[in-house]
Amino acid sequence: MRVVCAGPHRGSAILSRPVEVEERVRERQDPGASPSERRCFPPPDERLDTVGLFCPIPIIKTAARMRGMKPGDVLEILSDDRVILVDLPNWCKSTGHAFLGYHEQSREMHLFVRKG
Amino acid sequence: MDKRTAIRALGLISGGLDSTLAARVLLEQGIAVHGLNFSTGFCTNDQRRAVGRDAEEPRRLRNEALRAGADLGVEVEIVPVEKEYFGIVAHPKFGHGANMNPCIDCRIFMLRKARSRMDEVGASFLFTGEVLGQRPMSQHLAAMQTIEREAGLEGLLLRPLSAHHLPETIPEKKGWVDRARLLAITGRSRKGQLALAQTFGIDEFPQPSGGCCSLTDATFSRRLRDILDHEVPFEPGTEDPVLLKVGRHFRVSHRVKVIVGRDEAENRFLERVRRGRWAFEVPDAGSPLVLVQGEPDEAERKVIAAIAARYSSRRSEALVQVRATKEDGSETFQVTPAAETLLDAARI
Repeated sequence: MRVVCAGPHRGSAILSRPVEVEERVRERQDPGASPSERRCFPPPDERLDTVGLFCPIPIIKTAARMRGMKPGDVLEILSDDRVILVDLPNWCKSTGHAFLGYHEQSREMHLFVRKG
Repeated sequence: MDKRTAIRALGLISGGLDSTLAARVLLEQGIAVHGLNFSTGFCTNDQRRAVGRDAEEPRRLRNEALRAGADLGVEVEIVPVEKEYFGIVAHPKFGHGANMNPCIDCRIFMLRKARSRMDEVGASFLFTGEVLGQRPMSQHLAAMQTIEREAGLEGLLLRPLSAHHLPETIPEKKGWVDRARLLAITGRSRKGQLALAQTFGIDEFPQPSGGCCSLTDATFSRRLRDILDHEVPFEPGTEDPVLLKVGRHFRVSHRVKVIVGRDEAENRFLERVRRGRWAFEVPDAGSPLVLVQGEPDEAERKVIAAIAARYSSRRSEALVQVRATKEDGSETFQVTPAAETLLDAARI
């Protein structure tokens, strides 16, 4: 299980490249996020499930959802398309939103974006 | 860099070198840039991504338009247009190129869409990375003038890379853009663009040789033409365009065709999208998944079983057991693997 936080959370500034946080996580039967993963990210204001969809659809849906959110709000995006790990930070960089990082469970990623 | 941003331009940004350079040329003049990228359903990277080969490095499948936007500091808005776009692929006013590529209609379609967005983003003009004389179908002078006229953009469409070879546009006449700082690149050589990229310090861009649109691919186009010529459902914006890139395709009858997976990734993809369709495979053997499009009768199912046997690890056996399954049932066949002559006749 990998947890990647994009550094400490600093408002709506676009953060520098993610710093890998390597943690040992015990095997759990409960598939929910471990306490260490939850500590890394602020609680999301909204959640968007894009599992089964492939880029650019997750980005299109993320953009649409973000339009309805307030600056400072956090969106959690669920995805199983690994290319989102490249596309979402790029999208954030060009639109002024902050990519906060992600954690991964099995083949599903939970990515966090703060609206700028 | 000039910080005046009173004038905004809307540009088609693919992420390729030309559109990136065109945007950068305008940014250097203090023009604010907003990018548009249209998701047509025929992007080869998008299709490769959907198949999802584990060994593929994510960076190689990244969306180049988003990457360019990040590098330029420019928002690139991705707009899904699959359903509408398919109409011009099937029936282009200005015809197809060497394959199913409707390049002139494609450009007109995208520019019309962009034109309708100008007011929303506060843009005064449009730009593209088109280079005069580069692409045979859509980038010679007559075609470029047709495109501009058909899109309703006469005078409002700037091509910064070839501006000195084209009539002066409204943004140049009004002084929004300094024509002297635009370029005079023409032809198929990439030297001008590569030199400009070096000047700007741009070193990340995909191969400029094209190939990013499936409609220029001969095999893909042949299969798409086959779909259009037969009674096979095809829904843009779904996995249907991706299926044309996956596997070996065979036409069994006017109403039925099959797709034979070639490797584990393709078999996984076919399994993921089977959705109520017949699927054939050889149990307890190395076997492709054979996905059926259409409703085969019993005779057609036997032919499909023979095809599945031919591509299994039991292809050299006299009789092979093949299992056919669908959501509401299954059946088993004992068949002789299909002969090469049948495959050659049926191959799409």
